[in-house]
Amino acid sequence: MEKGYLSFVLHAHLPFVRHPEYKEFLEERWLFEAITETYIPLLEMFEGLVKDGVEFYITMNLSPSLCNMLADELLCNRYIGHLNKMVELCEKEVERNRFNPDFYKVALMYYHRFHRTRDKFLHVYNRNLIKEFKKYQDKGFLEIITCGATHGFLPLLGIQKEAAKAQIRVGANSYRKFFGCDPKGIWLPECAYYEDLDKFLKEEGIRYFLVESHGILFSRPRPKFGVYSSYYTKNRVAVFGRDHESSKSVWSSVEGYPGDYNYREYYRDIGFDLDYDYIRPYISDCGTRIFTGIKYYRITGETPHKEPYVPEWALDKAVFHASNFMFNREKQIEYLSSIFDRKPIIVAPYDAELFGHWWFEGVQWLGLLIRKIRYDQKTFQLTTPSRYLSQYPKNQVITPAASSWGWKGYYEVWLNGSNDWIYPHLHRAQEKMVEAVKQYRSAGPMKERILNQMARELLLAQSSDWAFMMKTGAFSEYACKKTVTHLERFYLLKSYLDRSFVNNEMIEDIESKDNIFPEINYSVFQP
Amino acid sequence: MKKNSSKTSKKTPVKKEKKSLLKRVVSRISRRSKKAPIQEEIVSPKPTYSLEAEKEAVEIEKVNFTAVQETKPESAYNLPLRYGDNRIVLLARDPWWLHTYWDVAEQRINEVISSIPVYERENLKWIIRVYDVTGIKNFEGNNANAFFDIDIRFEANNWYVNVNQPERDWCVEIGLINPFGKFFPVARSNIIKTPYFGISSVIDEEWALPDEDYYKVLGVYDLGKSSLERKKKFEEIIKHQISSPLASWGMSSLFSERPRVADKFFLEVWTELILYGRTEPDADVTVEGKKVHLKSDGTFSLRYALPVGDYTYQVVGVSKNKKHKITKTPAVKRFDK
Repeated sequence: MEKGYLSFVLHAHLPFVRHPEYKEFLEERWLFEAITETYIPLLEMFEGLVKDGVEFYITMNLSPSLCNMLADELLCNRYIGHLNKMVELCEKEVERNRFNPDFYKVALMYYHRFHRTRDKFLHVYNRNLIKEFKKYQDKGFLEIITCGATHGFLPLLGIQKEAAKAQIRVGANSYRKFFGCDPKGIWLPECAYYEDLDKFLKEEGIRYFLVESHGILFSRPRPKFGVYSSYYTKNRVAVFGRDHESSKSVWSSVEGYPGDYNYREYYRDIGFDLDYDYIRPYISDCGTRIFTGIKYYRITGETPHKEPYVPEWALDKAVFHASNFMFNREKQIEYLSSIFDRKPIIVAPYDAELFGHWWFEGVQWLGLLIRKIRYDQKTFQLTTPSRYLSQYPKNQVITPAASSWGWKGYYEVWLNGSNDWIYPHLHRAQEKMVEAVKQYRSAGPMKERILNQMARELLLAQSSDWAFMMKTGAFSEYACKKTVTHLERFYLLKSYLDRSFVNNEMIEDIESKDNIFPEINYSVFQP
Repeated sequence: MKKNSSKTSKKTPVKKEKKSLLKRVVSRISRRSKKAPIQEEIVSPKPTYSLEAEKEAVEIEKVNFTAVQETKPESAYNLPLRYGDNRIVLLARDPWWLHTYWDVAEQRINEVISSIPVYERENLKWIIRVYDVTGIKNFEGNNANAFFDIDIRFEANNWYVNVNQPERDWCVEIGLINPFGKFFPVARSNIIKTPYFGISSVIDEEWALPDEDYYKVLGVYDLGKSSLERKKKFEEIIKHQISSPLASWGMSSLFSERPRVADKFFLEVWTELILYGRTEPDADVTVEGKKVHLKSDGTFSLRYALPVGDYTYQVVGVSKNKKHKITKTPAVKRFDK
């Protein structure tokens, strides 16, 4: 009999990036890369586990903005175009490396990967990845949860409660549309919680959410089991806290597994290494060198000199790291279960894109780990938060502490000198939205259509991703532009409402660009 | 209480400093006869600005706590920089710091100044008054538990305020203070609570573990002498956890930067070999046994990576009717001197 549980929670999210007005748009590649490197490899892993009859339980958030992109025809077509180009490049690379024993096998590996990915996407998944993930939910292996509509950072938006409420409601509605049932759980954007947020979760029938470790550890009263159990908030929504130890070993690029010298080096990419004329058709439209995803070197060490990647060595390391992770969890659970009068749960949440994208071998590692947990030990089993809750329906009631999983544990990543200028604008727009809904509710189909698009624009401007990019500096210019553009469109639409003037062409243009949440109803912003 | 913000914010002055809004308004009001309508002389704030120029002034003035790269929108966007809706908004950044921004129209400032007796109008300066309103049901400006003031530059539009007290309710007012210490508020903020920090001393009898066991669960193995000591130790651990750069939170989202090897000087040199030729367009050509694609004019061009070593490239051409076969075998030795 097992003594405790481990719950993996993967957070798959990308901000809504879609630019039909351009033939090619660099930031749309985030989605393409994530599909190729993370989402499809995860699906293949699930497929393998099911085929081999390995029982597993994993929780995964497919964020509403990600789902909207995965379901978008234009982006799907562009993804296929991207794959075609990558297959072509891989073919050239196999040929080019024919007499290069160091790289030939790796070039072949990419060739097969991209070929298989294209084949599966077109002919097996029929371009519909959401349906594919849902399949594993229907089989009972995967628990898919939802997220804030556009990943808005709720503690900073929530000074108008309608704003936080709308993020959650639109997120839940989007989930219902894609998965045909109520979401059992929610991944709060950036795991950011503030007092009373649970009320809005309750209203949507959401049964649990996740917080950073100190969200639980600092709760009142003292949480009896630390982060190793479920709790209820006073509104009877269950809450789970992240386990620091298991997170660190995977997350940290320095102390963690992904930094092992045998793993693939992310930063050495043929997009930067190869002769310009040769690589030109496969980099950005404007000719800037970018990451292509084809990388031939291993991390090697803390040196600019890199050695060729050897997949077998990397696999050996993945096996070793899977064993190590399992062993540590066994020890952890043995210890905890000796103290507790219930079976502990270790909740290990990660950004899904860590696996495959940043940590190339991460998906392999996870697959190996799941198999090992099933066959090589008896101390613990995999579970999902809702399975745990059915086992332990009676829980201590606590008030979780305001917190986030960002650097320094609170809100600073999203509120500092680089991005604080957005809040006066966002708060104003939120207020204007609520007012407009009050004023123009049921004011005829055209006005309601404008209100709906205003809601989309506001939600898009709220993504925490923009503030995050402004902070880290990567893509900050694009992030600023996104924030401002969506707000501008918001105010343009509002001016149509106020002046009872309509520029049909303009509205259609905006709707066709920002076509997220086609089902949205502005009443989500009703006070 | 601390007034550190005003101390730390002494920075290089803005180059082309305009006469401050306050000075402009006060001098205008003083010049004016009491009967004259105030309205006329007020320059209403422009509806749209370029964010960039104004933002710069803000950035210079703002207290710089973290070494972050400052980024601003590059081009002039059509968002109003000021809304002129006379408000101050308060946000919590963490258990110890608040962030506040304000937007007050000249008209409102005029109103407040006009209400000040003339002899008390000299040497007014802008401050933010920070009130601790924890547990107060109806805060009315004079019933706070405590307050402290911070000197600010009005044009900064926003400020970070160190309150250093988790789990308290806060409210701020922006306003003018005269040398006699008389405060004239211009706008009052919402109330916000700083997040809690630390392990709760409230223990739920129904859900309790012995203290020693409890701290072990939390990862504190060196238990110390008292429960206070343990509590402190644990809070140190958490502080370290959340602020450790090694934790690299957020490294895995697609657009975050992962740490990479510090830039050291490097030089990479690679070589490639181009093998090209021509034959009859309908001939069959193989290189080391692998068929080569011919262009319609019978030419071909192949590009191979050329690492250190000895290489031979056996090229075989066979005519369409299979009657002719030519073999050529260029060989290359690539070495580093």
